[in-house]
Amino acid sequence: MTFKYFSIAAFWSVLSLAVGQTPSAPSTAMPPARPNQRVAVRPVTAEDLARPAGADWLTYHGSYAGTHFSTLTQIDTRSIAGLRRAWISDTDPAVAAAGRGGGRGGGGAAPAAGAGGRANAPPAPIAPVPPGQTGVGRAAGFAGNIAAGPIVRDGVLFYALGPNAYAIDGRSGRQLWHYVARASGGLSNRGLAIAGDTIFMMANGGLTAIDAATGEERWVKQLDGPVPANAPFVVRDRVYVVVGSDAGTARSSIEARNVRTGEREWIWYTIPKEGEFGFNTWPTEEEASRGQGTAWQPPAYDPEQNLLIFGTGNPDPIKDGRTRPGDNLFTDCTVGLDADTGKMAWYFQATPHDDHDYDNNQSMSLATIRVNGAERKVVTWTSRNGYFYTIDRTTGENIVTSKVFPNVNWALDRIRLSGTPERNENKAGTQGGSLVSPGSEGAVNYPAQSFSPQTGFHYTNVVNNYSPFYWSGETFLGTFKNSLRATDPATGKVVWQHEYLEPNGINARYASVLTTAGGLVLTGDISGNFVAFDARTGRILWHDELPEASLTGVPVSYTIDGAQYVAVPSGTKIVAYRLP
Amino acid sequence: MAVTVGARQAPAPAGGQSLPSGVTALAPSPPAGPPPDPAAVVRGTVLYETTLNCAACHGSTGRGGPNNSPDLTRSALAMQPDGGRGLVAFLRVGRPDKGMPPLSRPLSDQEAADLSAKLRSLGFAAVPAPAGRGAGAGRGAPLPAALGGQQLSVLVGDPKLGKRYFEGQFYKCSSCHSVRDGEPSQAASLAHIATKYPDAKALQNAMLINRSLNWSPRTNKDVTATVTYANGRTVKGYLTSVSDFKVVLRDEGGAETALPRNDGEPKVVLTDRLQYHLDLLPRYLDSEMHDLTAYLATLK
Repeated sequence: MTFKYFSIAAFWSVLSLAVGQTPSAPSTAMPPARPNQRVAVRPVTAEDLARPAGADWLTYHGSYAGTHFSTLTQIDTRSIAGLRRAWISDTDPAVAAAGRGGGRGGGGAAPAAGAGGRANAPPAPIAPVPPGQTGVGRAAGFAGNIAAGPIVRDGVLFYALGPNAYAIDGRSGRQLWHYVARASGGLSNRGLAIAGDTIFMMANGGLTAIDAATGEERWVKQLDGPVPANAPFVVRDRVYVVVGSDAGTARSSIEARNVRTGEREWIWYTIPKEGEFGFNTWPTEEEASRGQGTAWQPPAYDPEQNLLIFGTGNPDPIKDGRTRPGDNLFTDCTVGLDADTGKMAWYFQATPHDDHDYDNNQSMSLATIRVNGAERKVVTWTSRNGYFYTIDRTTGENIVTSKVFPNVNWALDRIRLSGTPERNENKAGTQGGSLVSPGSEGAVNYPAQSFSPQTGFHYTNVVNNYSPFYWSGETFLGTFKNSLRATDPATGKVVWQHEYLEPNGINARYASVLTTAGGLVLTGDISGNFVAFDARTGRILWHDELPEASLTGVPVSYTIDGAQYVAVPSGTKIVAYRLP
Repeated sequence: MAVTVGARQAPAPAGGQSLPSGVTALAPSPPAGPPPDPAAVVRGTVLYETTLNCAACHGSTGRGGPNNSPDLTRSALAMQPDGGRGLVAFLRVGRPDKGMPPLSRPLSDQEAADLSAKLRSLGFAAVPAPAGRGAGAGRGAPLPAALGGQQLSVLVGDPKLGKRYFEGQFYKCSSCHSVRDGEPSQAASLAHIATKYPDAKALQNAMLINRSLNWSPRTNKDVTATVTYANGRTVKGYLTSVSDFKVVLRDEGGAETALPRNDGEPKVVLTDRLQYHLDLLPRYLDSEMHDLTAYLATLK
C-alpha cells in the first residue's frame, strides 16, 4: 500500500496549522459550518446494487463486476467535443485526521450534535481548518485528497475525504451535509458504500453507519485490529470489511457484517492457521501469525456463483522474506470467497513469497470473453508486480499470465504451469543491492482499472520502473515514464497504448480509469488534465485542465433528469462535466 | 525525502547535520543516553500523533512511510539526548525542499523536551528484539534479529573487476567519465567521488540514476526539448513539463515559454542528459553493479 498524493502536502498543512493548537483547546478559527440539509434519496435495494452502473453509481467499482464501466451513452466519441465543466464542489473545508486507528474512548459513541447544525462536531484532537484556505498543499487541515470516487444515488453524490464524508447536490456541487469522523483509517479514505438509507464508512476505528438522509452517525462497530479505509462492500444483507495493516505484525482478515447491526457473521483470515489448507507455505505459526496480507480494495462479486472476488496484499515482514520461506499463501492472491459463508472456493497467487511489496490489490474486473473460441467467465487485472492476468472465475484456473514490460525481472521467464510466476531468488533484496523491476511502487498500484464489455479490452495506467532492494530497504529512483494501456484479456496482448512524454511519470499510474458505453476511456494524466480517449483506438478526443490538482480518485458517471454527468475527484474537490 | 542509508551502528556525526546528497546522519541503535521519562513520552505522543501530526508521514512507529519519509529512529538529530534543542532548531527551518515545512511558531522548551522524549522512545522501541521472544496478545512475535542486515556494508563487489567493467565496452563508463583530477571529462568527473559519497549505498544509487522518486525536469537542466512544427520551424529549450496539450520550455535565464500541442503536433523530442544511465538499467547484472560500485568506492 502506498500513500502518495497527500504526503508532502499533508506535512505542510498539518504542521503549519496544527502547531498552534493544543488538544485540550479547540480553536475558534473554525469557519461557521453550514447547516446540514435533509437529503431525499430512495433507499438502495439489493436489486439496485446488482445492476450495472447507469443513472446511479452505487459501489466503489460502479457495479458488482468491478469494471468501472458505465452503461451511459449520451456523452460519446462525437458529443464529447462539447463537454463542459458543470460545477466544482462547494463544501465546508475538510477536517484533518486526528491520528491513526481511532476508537478512543471505547464503544464509538458519537459525540452529540454540535452547535450550528453540524451533525457531528469534531472533538478537540482534530485540527480545525482556518477560513479562506483551500488547495492541495496549501490547505491547513489538509485531510489528504479524495482517493476514491463518489457513490451516486438519485442525483446526490456521497464521498469521503480523510475522516470527512460529504453529501453534495449532483446538479450544483453544493454541500448537503458534512460528517466528520473522529478518525479515519490511515490518512486517506478510499470510499463509501450504500445500502438502504445507510452510508457505510471505514472510520472511528471500525465500520461506521451514517444516515444517508441527514449525515448523522447511526452506529460504529469497532473492529479488532487496524482498519484500512478502503470502501466497504455490500451484497444483500451483509457489508464486507477488511481488517489489517501494511507493514504490521498480525494476520489480516475479511469479515462479513450485518448491514443493520454491524455484527460479525463470518471472518476469513488471509493467512491459514495450523492444520488449514495453505498453512504449509509458511515455516511456523509464529511467522504466519504476523504475515498480514491485507485486502486493500473492495472485491468484485459474481452473483452466479455467489462469490466475492478479492485481491490480497503483501506478506510481512514487508520487502524481506528471509524469516518466512515458502509461497506465503494467501498473500498477493486473488481469491473467490463464498459470500454467505466466507469459505474459499479457489485462489490464484499473483506473487509467491513476495519480498517487494507487490500488493495484489487492484480492481478485479469480471468479464465474459471468448478464449480460443470458447466462452469463458473470467476475472482480469494488471497486478502491481508487472504481470497481467486473466483467470477463470469459476475455478481460479489461469488463462493468461503476461509481462506488462519485457524488463520485469523479479521472476524467471518460465512461469509455473499454474500461471503463477516463479520468483527469481536472486532478485530478493540483498546486502549489496538487487536491481528489481518493478520497484515496490509497482507497474500499477491500487487505483481503478477498467474493463469495457463494449470493446472487450482491459484498461489501466502503467509505469515502467526500477528500484534497488537492500536488506536495509529499498531506494526509490526517479525518471520513469507511464502510459495508458488497452489489453486484450484473452491473450494479454496490448491492443493500443498511449505513452506520455512527461519524464516523471511514476506518479501518473495513480490515475483511475473509467470506461463508458459511449466508447470512451476517461482518465487523468500527470500534467493535471482530465482526458478522454477513444476506447477502440486510443486517440485523444477531448481534455480539460483540472483546476486544482491532478485526478486523484475514481471518476464516475451518472444522470439527473436524463442528462449525463461525469464527476472527477481532483485533490479536495469534485469537478463535474456535462453537455451544454 | 532524504533516504536514510548505511550502517545502523555508524557513529553519528555531531549535531546530526545532513551529509552530501541528502544522506541523513545516522543514530546508533539503541539511541545514546538513558531511556526517556514515560510521562514525557505520553505528552510527546499527543504532539507526535495529533498536534504536529508527525505520524502522518513518519508513521506511528517513527520508522518512515512508503513515500520515503525518513526513519526518525535512525536520525541522529531526532535521537540525540539533548532535551529537544536540536529539534527546535531543525523544525524552525524544516526541509521545505523535501516537503517538510517549518513550524509556524517555535516549540516551547517543554514541548521540545516532550517531543524529543517521544521520538527517543520510538528509537528504543525500534531496536530489533532477540529471536524467539514470545508474542504479545493479539500480535505476531517480534522480528528475529536475523533481519538486522542493516549493519552490513553494501560493498560486496570486486573493485578490480569493477575497474575493468568501468573501462570496458559493455558499460563504457570511461568514455564519458574521467576519474582523475585535471583530466577532461565529458560527463561529471568521478575523481574523489567516494569522498563526495562516503556511504557506498548512496554511491551505488547515484550510479544507477542520480534522481529520487519525485524528481522532475522543472528543477534542473537535465532534459532538453526540441519542438518541431509541421512547417519545419523548431524551438529548443530546457524542459519544464510536457503533456499532449502543452510543452513548457525554459531558456538559460529561466524564462518560460508554453507552446500548445494538439493531436501530436508540434512534435516534441526529449534529450535526457542521463539517458545512457536509464538505458543501462535493464542491462546490469547485480554482481557487476556491485563490482562497479566497489571500484567507485576506491576513488577517494
